[in-house]
Amino acid sequence: MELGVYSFGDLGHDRTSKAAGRRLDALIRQAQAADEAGLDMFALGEHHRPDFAVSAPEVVLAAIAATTRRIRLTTSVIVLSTVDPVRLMEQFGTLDQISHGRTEITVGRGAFPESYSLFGYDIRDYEALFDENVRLLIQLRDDPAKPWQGRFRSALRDVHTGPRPAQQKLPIWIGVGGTPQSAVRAGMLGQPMFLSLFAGPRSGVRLVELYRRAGTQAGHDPASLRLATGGHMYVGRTSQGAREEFYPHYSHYLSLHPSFAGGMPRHVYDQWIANGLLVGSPQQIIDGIMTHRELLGVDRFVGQFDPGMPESLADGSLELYLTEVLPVIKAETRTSEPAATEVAS
Amino acid sequence: MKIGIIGAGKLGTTLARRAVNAGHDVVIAGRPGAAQTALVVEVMIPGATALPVTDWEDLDVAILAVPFSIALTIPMPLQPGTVVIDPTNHWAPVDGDLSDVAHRSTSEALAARHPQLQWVKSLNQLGYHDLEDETIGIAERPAMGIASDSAEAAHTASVLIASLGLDPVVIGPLSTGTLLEPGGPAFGTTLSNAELSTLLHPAEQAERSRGDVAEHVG
Repeated sequence: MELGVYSFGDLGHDRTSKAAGRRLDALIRQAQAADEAGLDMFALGEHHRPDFAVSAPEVVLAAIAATTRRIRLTTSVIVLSTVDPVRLMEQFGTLDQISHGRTEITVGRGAFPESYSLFGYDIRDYEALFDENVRLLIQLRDDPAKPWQGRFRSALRDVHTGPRPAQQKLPIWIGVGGTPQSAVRAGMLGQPMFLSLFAGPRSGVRLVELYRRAGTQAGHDPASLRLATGGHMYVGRTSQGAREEFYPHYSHYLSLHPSFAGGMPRHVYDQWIANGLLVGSPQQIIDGIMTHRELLGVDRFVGQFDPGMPESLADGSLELYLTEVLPVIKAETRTSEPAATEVAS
Repeated sequence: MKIGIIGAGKLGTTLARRAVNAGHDVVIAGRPGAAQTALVVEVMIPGATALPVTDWEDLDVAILAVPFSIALTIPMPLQPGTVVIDPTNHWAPVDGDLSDVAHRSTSEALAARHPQLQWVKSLNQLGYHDLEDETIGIAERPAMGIASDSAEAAHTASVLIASLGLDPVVIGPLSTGTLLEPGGPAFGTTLSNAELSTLLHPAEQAERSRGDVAEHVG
């Protein structure tokens, strides 16, 4: 089983002029630490808000590519509804060359609305934009010379896009946040699915079945229907200590969302942890990730390692993840196959 | 009861599953033309039936489980007099600043467009994550406010909402729905019946709270 981390370059409470630069330096350093420890994936997602440092993940990933050797790099996610797929494929073809074949793309519809007005799109088209763009992106990877005509961008005929990725087939993962139709689309397209699970793995069981059913019905090889899960994560030394250390930062972080405008009530936080939010000691995080594997048959888990946290706290959590969680998960899953066939049947 | 749900997304499938588990007869309509709705219903909501709205008959209650900006524009080919629960919320950053909801509830805006239906504001206070929680109705029964201009419609909605494991609290006419919406005191909080009732006192608080909501959304 593969393990990874993702980030948006969350600035926490720090809004000073140097905050973004410091955070980007930290991300590059943290990615190097993850690489040296043998972590499989490092992922960055775009936001366009004053509280996040990453709006151009491909640029930061290029810096990371140049200073790491083995770790694979991806996004978490690219808001594909507001990005030109041609530009995206050129950027990630370039990144795949710089990283010598360690690049992937994870695309989704995004959780925030800012990118629509910033880049000149109508948010009411978000679904149609995503649907068109994901099909074009896959075509550009699989059959770049094929002509294209769509609704939202100019037609493509006899064009060159390059450089081509170093890998024969650059992985394109479809990010899904809980909408059933998105899981169906990922399956019908026959691409791997990255499922964000903030309410614990049980809420993903039906979505994963939907993904696999849609994929096999469309004639795709079940082996191509890979699955990753992700969600917020904090690893502390002790169970109770982890809960207390993380709570104020998480409550502040979630106040970005209208449902928690006044912060996250403590009893809701405790309920989320009971449902499977990954907050706890290394052993609890190991158990939590193994529950994802047992319930959903995941091939990969990617945790957001720094939501709302100051750098020192994120560093501490990352270190425990790399030194105490990673080796145990690797040992426990080295020989066993995921339970995917159980879920799909 | 026979329940019709418009929208097979996160909220629609979650509510449909609760309704099926409560023993109701559930029909659900996805986006027109979406071939996958049958598969979504088969996997996500065993026991419910995927059916276009135009084929629905003898409903007791309909639930409009789509984003508010879509709710404003879709046709509602339901029998006149049908009780419709509106669980939508208006998010200005996503939906835009809509004049429809300046100083009033989303349900008032929908009722103005479809006056032949009996509108109820409810099921919007908690997110689908909360409603998905299988312990709801067993360990606790979170309060759920209900606003409607029709006492009969409010009663019908109360019966359904109680069967879903929630504790219905009828708070007043449709205009008091703003108390339950983003910016209102009851939004996003898991409360007991007594806590919600104490919090609202709808008659006294309605006007003041309408001002608060206008500030928040505007």
